[in-house]
Amino acid sequence: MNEENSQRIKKIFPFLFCILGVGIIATPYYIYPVCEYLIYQRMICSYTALAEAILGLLIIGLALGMFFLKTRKALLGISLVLIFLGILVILGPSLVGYCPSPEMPCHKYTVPALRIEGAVLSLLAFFSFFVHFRQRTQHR
Amino acid sequence: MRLSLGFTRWMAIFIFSIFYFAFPLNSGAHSPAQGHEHVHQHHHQHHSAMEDVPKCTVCGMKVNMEGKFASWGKDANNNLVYFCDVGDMLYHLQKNSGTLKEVYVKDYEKNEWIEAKEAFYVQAKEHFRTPMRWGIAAFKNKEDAKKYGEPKTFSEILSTFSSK
Repeated sequence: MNEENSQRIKKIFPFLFCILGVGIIATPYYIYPVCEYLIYQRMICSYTALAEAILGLLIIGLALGMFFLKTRKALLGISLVLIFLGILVILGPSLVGYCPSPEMPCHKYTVPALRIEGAVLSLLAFFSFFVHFRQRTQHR
Repeated sequence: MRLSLGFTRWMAIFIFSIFYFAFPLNSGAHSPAQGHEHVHQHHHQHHSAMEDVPKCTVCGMKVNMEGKFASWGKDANNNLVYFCDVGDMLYHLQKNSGTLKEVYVKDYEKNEWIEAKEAFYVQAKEHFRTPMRWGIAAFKNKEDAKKYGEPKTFSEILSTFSSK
């Protein structure tokens, strides 16, 4: 990977993280709504939706931070935190809870979608960490 | 100056996002849709205050104790536990084996409380629209259960029950 390509990839990361953050917030409310936002009442999956929305906001905040912070240490740190947040997005439904019935919308659609988004986020963040880390070692 | 404008713009987007998602537009959209045939709309008449309505131990949903699919029991410390659906009760028993001393379910035909271990169960999603869509109903008599499908005893339904 030459220097020009590397710089281009680095600029794409914050946008991708922003999109994923918005996706993680929107999934349990709009894309695949949890039970409360369909015909059911408030239950445990509603709190999972809230927890994922908070994680989504954190991801967007960190992605915006990537636009402004240009030091290598900061970018590496943000990438590491994003890996951790991606794992939290995957584990969130299990930690907070969701409906056990496979017929319920949160079990059927929301949780798998969130887990995919979390996995993609973690992988991208790992790749971002790798790119920023590799650049320094190349300069040496 | 350029950086400052860019920063202001991104901060505005960020703050807008927070407000947009903190107050979802469709948060009230479920109320009209709830207008038909949902078991949880008929709250127990004795529960005048919202806080008095028991919540399901498994899903946190308010339990309609008048409904045909509710269940309740006592744990090892004699604390009352409630379930909105027979399926949630079975799920709880599978996950926490032996933690409930006694469990009661509603007889689907007579709407009376019966001991869960003595009841017969039928899983027929086409017949029973249960709160959590498990589609399981309990019956005191085997003959009543046969009208809806293949009856199973408590131990049979517990061993075949799956959340997958």
